Parts: sequence; structure tokens; C-alpha cells
Amino acid sequence: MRTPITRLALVALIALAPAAFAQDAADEAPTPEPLPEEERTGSFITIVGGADSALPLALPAFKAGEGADRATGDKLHAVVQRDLELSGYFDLLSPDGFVEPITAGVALGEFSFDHWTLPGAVGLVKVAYAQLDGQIEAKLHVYNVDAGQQLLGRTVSWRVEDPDALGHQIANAIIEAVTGERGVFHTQIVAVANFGQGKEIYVFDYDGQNPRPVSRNGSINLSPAWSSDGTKISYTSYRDNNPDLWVTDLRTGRHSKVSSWPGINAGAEWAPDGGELALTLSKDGDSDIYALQPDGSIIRKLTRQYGIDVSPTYSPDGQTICFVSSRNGSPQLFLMDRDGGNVRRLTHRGGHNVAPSYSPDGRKIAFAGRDEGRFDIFVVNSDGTGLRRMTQTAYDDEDPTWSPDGNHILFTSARDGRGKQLYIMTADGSNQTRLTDGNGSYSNPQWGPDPLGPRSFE
Amino acid sequence: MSEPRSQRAARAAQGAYDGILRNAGPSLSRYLLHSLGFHALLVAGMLLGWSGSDDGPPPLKPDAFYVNAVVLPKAEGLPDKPTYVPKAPPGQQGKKEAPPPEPDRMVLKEKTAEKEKGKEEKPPEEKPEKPPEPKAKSRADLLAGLGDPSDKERFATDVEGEEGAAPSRLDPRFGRKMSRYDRDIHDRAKDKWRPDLALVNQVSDGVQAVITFTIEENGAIKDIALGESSGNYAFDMSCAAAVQRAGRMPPPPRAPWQVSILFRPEERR
Repeated sequence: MRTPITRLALVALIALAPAAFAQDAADEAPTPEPLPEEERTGSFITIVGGADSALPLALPAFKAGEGADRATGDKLHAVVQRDLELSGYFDLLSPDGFVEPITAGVALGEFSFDHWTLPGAVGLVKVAYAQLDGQIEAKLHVYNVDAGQQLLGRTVSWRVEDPDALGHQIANAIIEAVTGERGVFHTQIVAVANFGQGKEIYVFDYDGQNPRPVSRNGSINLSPAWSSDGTKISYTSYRDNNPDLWVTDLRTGRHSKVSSWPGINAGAEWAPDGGELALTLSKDGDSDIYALQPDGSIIRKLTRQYGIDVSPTYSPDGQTICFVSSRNGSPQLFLMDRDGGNVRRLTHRGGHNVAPSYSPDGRKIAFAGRDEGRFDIFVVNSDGTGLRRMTQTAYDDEDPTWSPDGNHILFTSARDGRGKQLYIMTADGSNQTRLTDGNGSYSNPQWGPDPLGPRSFE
Repeated sequence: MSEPRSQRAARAAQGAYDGILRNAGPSLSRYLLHSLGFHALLVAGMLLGWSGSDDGPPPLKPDAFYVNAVVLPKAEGLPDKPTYVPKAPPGQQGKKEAPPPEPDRMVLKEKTAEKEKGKEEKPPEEKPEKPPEPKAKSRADLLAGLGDPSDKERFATDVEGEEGAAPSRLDPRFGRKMSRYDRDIHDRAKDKWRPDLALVNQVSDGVQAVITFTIEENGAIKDIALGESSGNYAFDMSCAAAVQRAGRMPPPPRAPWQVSILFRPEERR
């Protein structure tokens, strides 16, 4: 830097740079001064990336075919529409703007795309359905209106009495055609629900519909958790007057008590490999987290420090456990290795952070944090950086849980004044929508694994 | 996203300059002397006829000027209606002959009268150096219609080229402040651009297309044409549809106002 030669070279570089650019105009970008405005006769514009809004999608009424009754088609349509709305991907266009004649068909060539450019559709979903032998058969077509191309043509069928399942199947196919990613509309959630008969465990469709009882013991049941293969659900039940850990096998309906130490046996979570459970026991006085075999035998004690340690949850790779501890005073999130070592504090802001849930790619953790006396949903990177608020209402928002594709977060909220209800939002906090209708109250939801298997996140 | 090469060079030069200032101190006058001498040499060189290029300064009236070069080739046997001749969808292409698009697929449409009027209005004097290629039909011919070789260089698709080079090659002012009118056009078209469906399960890196059109005195858009194809039919159509959906623009500073928009997807992280 100090030799005269170097200095001279630098000066030369500066002096020659414009000449070099001008000389090599064809190869390197020219950097002319902009033309004076009064000399310009046009614009040269670069647009990087499309609109950041939801995709305008037309979902006209389904076309009834042979033996079909209108009500079934309308129900099917309603299910698909709700799924697509909840997905947050789409701006579903109002049918008021539709101009297609009723005679138009659903297959390519049986209608004109011109009728769909007018209302502003970019995507178009057309379904025709027929009913025979107790089955609904739906012909599904997904179109790219801009290009006049069919993205998907598929026939799906299902039992007439279960149009929800068929609707979810159709919505999944649409999502996959439009985003390239598998949908989650066929997945299930488990939650505690109180329909006036006590707190029982129910499995629901992902959207909080069609409750199916898991526990039915008239006692208090809490903290349900899915096994990683989706075949079992663990929960804490007071049915024997002590908060014991129970497991229900969903295939057989059999309930078994797997941990009944004196004191609490609570907040169990299954490791992703299914080989163990983590839960809180207070058998020795202090509440600590233990690793258990699925049959209930203790593998090891994971936390030893004085203070209440609860709500363990495994990272998707099974190597880390996030939990809540009051060891420093107020409840905060901590991480530890699966064997209980290498404990480090994750949250530092806020005086009361609970209910952690790992995103399926393992990069983020959602939790409920108390701010100004109310709980809201927050998300923090699993290295402790990037804390951000997802919800902000005058009521408690609690118990977040991620969808298996990581695109949505389910949680409970009392914001509508109907007691705690189930809500869903996209992973960026937008599109917050109530799922349940206000009959009953809900808590501790956990989104179940995808029965089609886990996704890969690079 | 990697920054354009020109910006990189400018930054490097700025860094070097800062370094000199930092190291200057008492011997600054020496550098000034060096510099003065060097510049004197440069000036002398220029006076003596040394020049980087033979044909004077590079064409610095690029923007509107290149756009003018594209006159949409009209496929034979095609009705007057569409101005846009899309590349045939995969499977139908291969021949030089562009197939007449099915009416249903024709997204771009204008009132026939208006369009014909526009066509007649378009005086060849607008592009004195680059008369339109009358028989251009395929994508290659479309590109050939862009005019002289230096134009083609600038419009060439960077399929395997250096990353991030495209904006600087195609828009000398990329990265600078756009004029308010440019910004208007940009925002309106971007707001209506939905490449999503065209890019499902597709590689989006390096994909780009250029759409050209004219804005009339009242802001109406006409003569939407494909200036450069991405090679992805649906992507091309999404770009053209964005301009069409944008509808009417604010009245331009001068009419007809020639616009060329390079569309490229956001790079995936």
C-alpha cells in the first residue's frame, strides 16, 4: 500500500475505469448518465419477483353430474373453499364477478379462459362430480389462466357420507398443483376440549372439525401428545385421582397407564424416533424432567437443578430438548441435549415464557410469552436470535403448535369472547382465523404428524 | 443476490480511493503530482487520436430506442386480433412455423379497431436504424428482429452466464433511482405479475423474459409483445398477462411511450 508503484496503479485504476467501461460496452454494462427527462421517449424497467399478495383463484360451484345431488356438491365446495382460505395462499375471488355461462364444462376445451381473465383469476379450479354406489366421484381440474394451461387433471372418489375427507383430498391436490408442496388438509390435531362434560381429549380434523373422543373418563385430562407415528396419544389424566400418564392406542382404542409416580406425571412428549418420552415427575419433591421408555420405565433424569422444569419438547432431529424452567426465577425457555447435558437459556426477554413448540425444520421455536399481563404467541430462532411477535390481542393467545409443513401455527385464543377457541395462522403471523365455533372450550392443541410421512427440509 | 459487475467495479474503485485518502498524510502533494502527470498523459493521448472504440461513444440512447426495434412479427394465417405470438407450448414446437394459437389460449387481446389503428400509426421512422424483420416467426427470429448485433448482445439471455449480470446488461440504470413514471409502471406491473404457477416445480434461476409495449397519450397500453422469451411458455405468458392486467397507465410524458420490462423471478434462498 505504501509503494509509489501501488499508488500509481490505484490512481490509474480510477482514471481508467470509465474508459474501460466505455470501451467494453458490449461485454460489460455501460453506465451512461440517464437521459435527460425531456429527451426520453420510453422506459426500460426491471421487475424482480412477482406480487407479494395471495394468488387470485377462482373456485366456481362444482358441476353436478350423474346421480348427483346439489347439496353434496355444495358441501364439498364449502370444504375445499375453507381449506384454501385457511391455507393463506389464495385470494378466492367472489362468484359475483364470474361471467362464465352455466353451460361451460370443466375439462380443457369445454370452456373459455377469456371468461376467467375478466374477473382477474390467475388460478382456476373446476370440479365436476357424480354419485354412484354410495361414492362421490370428483373430476378435478386446476388451470393456469394466464397461460391457458392445465396444471392438474385428476379423478378422486370417496364415500358419500364423508364429504369432508374428499374435500380435504381435493384441496391437497390443488395446493400441490399450485405450490409444488404437499398440503396438510388430511392431517389431524389433538386437543383438550370441554363440551360441558369435563376436560376430555379429542382428535379433530386439522381445522378443528369432526371431534373424535380419545379419553372418555369424565375426569380431567390434559397435555395430549402424538407419538411420532401418529398411532398413539399420551395425556395426563386424573381418572385415578393422581395426575398419571396414560397412553391411548388409536388403532385399538386401548388405554394404558404408563407412569403413575406419586405427584405429577405431566407434559409428556414423544421423541421423533418413538424410542422414548420426556415428561415431568415430582416424585422427589422438585419437578424435574425425565426420559422414559414408552412402557413407562425411567431411562434417566434429565434436569437436576432446583426449580420447576416442565413442557419438554424434542427438536425434529431428536438431539435437543426445549423446556420451560423457573430455575432463574421466572419461567423461561431453555435448551438441553437429549441426555440432559449442555443446558443453555433460550429466551431472555419477557418475564413469563412457556409452551415451546419446534417448527418441523427445527429452525424456529414458537411459544407463548406474557406481555402486559396477556399471553401472545412469539417465535424465536432455535439459536435464540430473531425473536418476533406473532399475535397481539387483548386476550390470551396460548399453546402454539406447528403444522407438519411448517407453514401454519395453530393456537388457542379467547379473543372473540367465547372462551378459549382454536385458531390458525400462517407462519408469518398473517391470516389469523378462528377454527372452532364457540361450542366448548379448547386447550393444549398439538398438530399430529403427517400420515404420509415427514417432509424433508433442506 | 450478487451485485452487478459495474456496481462491484465502482465499489472497488471507491475503496481504492478511500485507501489513498487514508494513507495520504503529508505526502498528498506527491500523489497529486503523479495524478496530474498521469491525467496530462491521458489528455495528450486523447488529443493524439487514441480512442477506446472506433465509432465514437457507445450508443447512449438505449432505453426507448432498443424497445422500438421490436415489431411483433405476425404469424401468417393468424387473425388480426392478437399482437402476441406466444412460443408454442412444449411438444408443439420444433418447426420454424409458429402455430396459430387456439382462440381459447389467447390471453392477450385488444379491440381490433384500436389495434389496427395502432399498427397503422406506427411509423417506420420511429426506428430508423432497425427496420422490422418482416418474416420473423420463431423465437430466434423474434430475437433477430431486435436489430443490430450490439442490440442482440444486450438482449441475449444469460442462460449460463454470470449470475446477476442480467440487470446491469439489460438496464444500465438498474439500481439507480427510477423516474417517477418508471416507478409507476414498475409498481403497477409488479403488482399484477404472478409467475407462481409458471414456476411450480421449475428451476427459476436465470429465467427471464422481456415484454415490450407502447403507452398511448391517454395511458392506454397497446402492442404488447414478447421482446425476449424465457423459453418457458407459461412464464412468458405470466409476464405478458401482468402488463395486460395492469390495464391503463398514467398518461406518459410523451406519446407514444415505448416500454420494455425485464421480468425475472426472485432468486430462491
